[in-house]
Amino acid sequence: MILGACMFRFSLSEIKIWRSVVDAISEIIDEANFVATPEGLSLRAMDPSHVAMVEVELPKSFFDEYECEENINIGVNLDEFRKILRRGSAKDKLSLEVTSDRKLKIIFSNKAERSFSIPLLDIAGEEIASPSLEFDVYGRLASEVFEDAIKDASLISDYVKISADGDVLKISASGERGDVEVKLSEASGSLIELNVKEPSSSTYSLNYLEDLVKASRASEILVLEFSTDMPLKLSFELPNEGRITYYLAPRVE
Amino acid sequence: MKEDNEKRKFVKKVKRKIPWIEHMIESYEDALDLNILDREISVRSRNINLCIYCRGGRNLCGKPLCPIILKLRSYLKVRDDIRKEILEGSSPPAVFVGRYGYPNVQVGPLIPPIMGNTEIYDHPERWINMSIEEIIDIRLQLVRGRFPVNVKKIDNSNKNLEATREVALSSKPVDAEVEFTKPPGGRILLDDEIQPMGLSAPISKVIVSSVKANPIIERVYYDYDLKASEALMKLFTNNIPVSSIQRVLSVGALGVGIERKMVPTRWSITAVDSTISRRLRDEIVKRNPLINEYRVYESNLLGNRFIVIMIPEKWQYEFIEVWYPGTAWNRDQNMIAIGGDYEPYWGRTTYAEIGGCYYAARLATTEYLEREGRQAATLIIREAYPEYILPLGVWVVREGVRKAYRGKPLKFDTLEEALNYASNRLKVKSIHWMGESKLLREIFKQKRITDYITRKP
Repeated sequence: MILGACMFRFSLSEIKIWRSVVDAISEIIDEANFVATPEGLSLRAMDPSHVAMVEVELPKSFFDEYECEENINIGVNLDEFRKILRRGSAKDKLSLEVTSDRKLKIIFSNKAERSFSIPLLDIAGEEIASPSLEFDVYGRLASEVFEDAIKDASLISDYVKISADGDVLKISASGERGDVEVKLSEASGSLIELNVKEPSSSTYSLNYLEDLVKASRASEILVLEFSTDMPLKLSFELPNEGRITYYLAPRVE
Repeated sequence: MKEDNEKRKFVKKVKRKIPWIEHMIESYEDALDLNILDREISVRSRNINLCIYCRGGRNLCGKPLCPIILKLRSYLKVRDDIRKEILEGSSPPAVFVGRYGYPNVQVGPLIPPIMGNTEIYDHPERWINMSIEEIIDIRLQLVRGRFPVNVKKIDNSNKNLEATREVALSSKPVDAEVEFTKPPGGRILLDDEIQPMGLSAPISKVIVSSVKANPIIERVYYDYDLKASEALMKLFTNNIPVSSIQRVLSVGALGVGIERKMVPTRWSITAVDSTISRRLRDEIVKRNPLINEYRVYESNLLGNRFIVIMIPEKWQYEFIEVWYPGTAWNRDQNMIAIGGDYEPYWGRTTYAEIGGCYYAARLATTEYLEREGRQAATLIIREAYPEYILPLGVWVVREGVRKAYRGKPLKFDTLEEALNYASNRLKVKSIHWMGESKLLREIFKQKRITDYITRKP
C-alpha cells in the first residue's frame, strides 16, 4: 500500500447539510466514530449517560461522489472538526478523504483549494446494537412545530409529557412555574400524519430533548414515534435518503 | 458506707454545677490549674451523666480523645499569656463579626500573644496536614477583641473599626497592640461553620502597624461601583483564598458604595461559598460538555471521609452527611444521624437546611468542574467518624472535598459499578445513603437506552 494513498473519499456540493449532520451528532457526543462501507457512511453512538442515542445513515446516494473499497472507521474530535467545517463557505464544495497514513483530509474547493489534514482518532468502545422497538404512536410533522412545542415546555419544567389519543398529539408540562399544553392534530394542520394504535403517554427529560430538536435545522420534516413508558424515536429525513435518528429513554415515575 | 454516701453527694453536687473534676487531669500542673476551687474555669458538657462517670479517662462516649481535655490543654498552654489587659501580637490577619443582637453586633480583630508570621493561624486552606490538636492549639491562642458596631449605621470616625478593617484587608500578618477594658475571658467558640476561636475581651483601643494590602483586594475595595458579587468573583479568579475573601466581605469592604455593610462572620462564609459556586455553576459549568464516564473520588480529613460520585448527566448536586454516634454533632450513643440537601438542574429556591457545608462542597465541586471544562451530576457523601471530636468549621468540608478532587478518580462504565465501589468505601450501609439520596432517585427514574437493547448472548 502506498503511504498517503486515499482509502476513502466523498464529496458534497452542499456544505451546509454536512455541517448540520455534524452539529446534530455533537449535541450528544464529543468524539464520533463514523463507519464507512462500500454502501455508505454511518454512525451510532450513545451519550455518556446512555439516555440518548443517535444514528446517522448516509447511503452512497446521499453524496455527489463516494468511493470506499473496504470498511474503515473514521474517528474524529467533533469540536475540532466543527471548527474546521466553519471555515468553509456556502459556495465551497466539500471533500473528505482518509489516507493510508491515518489522516483525515478536509478539502474546501471553490476557486482556491484549501485542505486541512488532521489525525484520525482510535475510538475504543463496543459495538452498540440498535434498539428494536415497536411503537404505538407514529406522527409526521414539521420539525419547526415540534421544536416550538419543546421550547414552550422548557419554560415551565425540566420534563415534558408527550401523549397521543385518537387524532390529537399533546405535548404538555407542569411544575412549580405553571402549566403549558400544546395540542397538535391533522385537522388543525399542525400534523402531517398521525397514527395511534393505542392511546399512549410518556415523559421525557427536556434537558436532552432541547438539544435533540436542534437537529431540526438539518431537516424540515420530522417523524416522531413512541409508546407508553418507552423510548421516543425522532427521525429527521435528509435529502437523497439520508437520515438522522435519535432515541431518548423515558422517565418513569 | 460512709464513702459511698460521700461519693453520691459529690456526684449530685457535680451534676448541679457541672464543674471541672480533677480526675480528668494527667499531669500535676494541670491538676493545680484545674483545681475545683478555681472559679475562673468551668466546663460544660451536654452529656452530663456520661461525662461525670467518665471524667475524661474512660472514653465512655466512644471518642478516642476527650474533647473537653483537648480544649483545656490548649487553653492552659496560653492562659497566662492572654489573660492580660494589654496584648501585643501579630494578627494572622483575622477578624470576627458577631451575629448576636444584629444589627448591633460585636466586631474586632483576632490577635495571638505572639509577634511574627502568624499567617497560618487564620488560613484554613493550609490546615489539611495538621491534627485536630494542632488546630485547636493555634486557634485558642487567638484572642477575640470586640467592640459594639451597628452594621447598618457605620460610624466611620470609629478608629477601632478603621483598624479592624485594615487588618481584614491586609494580605500579611498585622502587628497590633490592644488595650482591653478587662482581661480576656468568656467562652471558647466552637461551631460547625466558623473555625474555633479563643477567649474574648472588650477593646478600648487598638493600634495596628505593618499593614500590607494586596493590590487586587485594594482595587475592589476602592471600586465603589463594583457589585459585591462581581467583587467576590474578581477576588476568586485572581486566586485570593476563600478564607481571605470571606474576611474582606465580613468587614463591609465590598459592593456598591452606599450598599456596603458588615456581614457577620458566620454569614459571610456561606455567602462567599454560595455566591461564587452559583456563578461558576450558571456561567461556566452548565455550558460545559458532560464527563464521559462515571467517576468516584475520595478523601479523608480529620476524621471525615468524603466520597464524590460524578454521573455523566447535566448538573444536579447533592450533599449528604452521615454522623456516627459520638461525633461532634451526634451525641446519641447508638444511632447514626443522616441528612442532606439536593438541587436539580435549575438550582434551589430555598436555603439548604444542612447549612454552610452544602455550599462549601458546592464551591469545591464547581471550581473543579470549571477547571476540567466539564459538567456532571454530583453526589457527595461525608461520613464523620468518632475521631472528629470537635466541630472545626465549614472549611473542613471545603478542603476535604477539594482534597478529593486533587486525587485521581476511579472511572466506571455503569452507575451500578460506581455505586458498588462507593458503597464499599463507606461505613454506612448503602440502603441508608442511597435511600436518602434525592439525586439517585431522580437518576433512577430516568431510564437508559441500554435498558431497551437486548444484549447478544
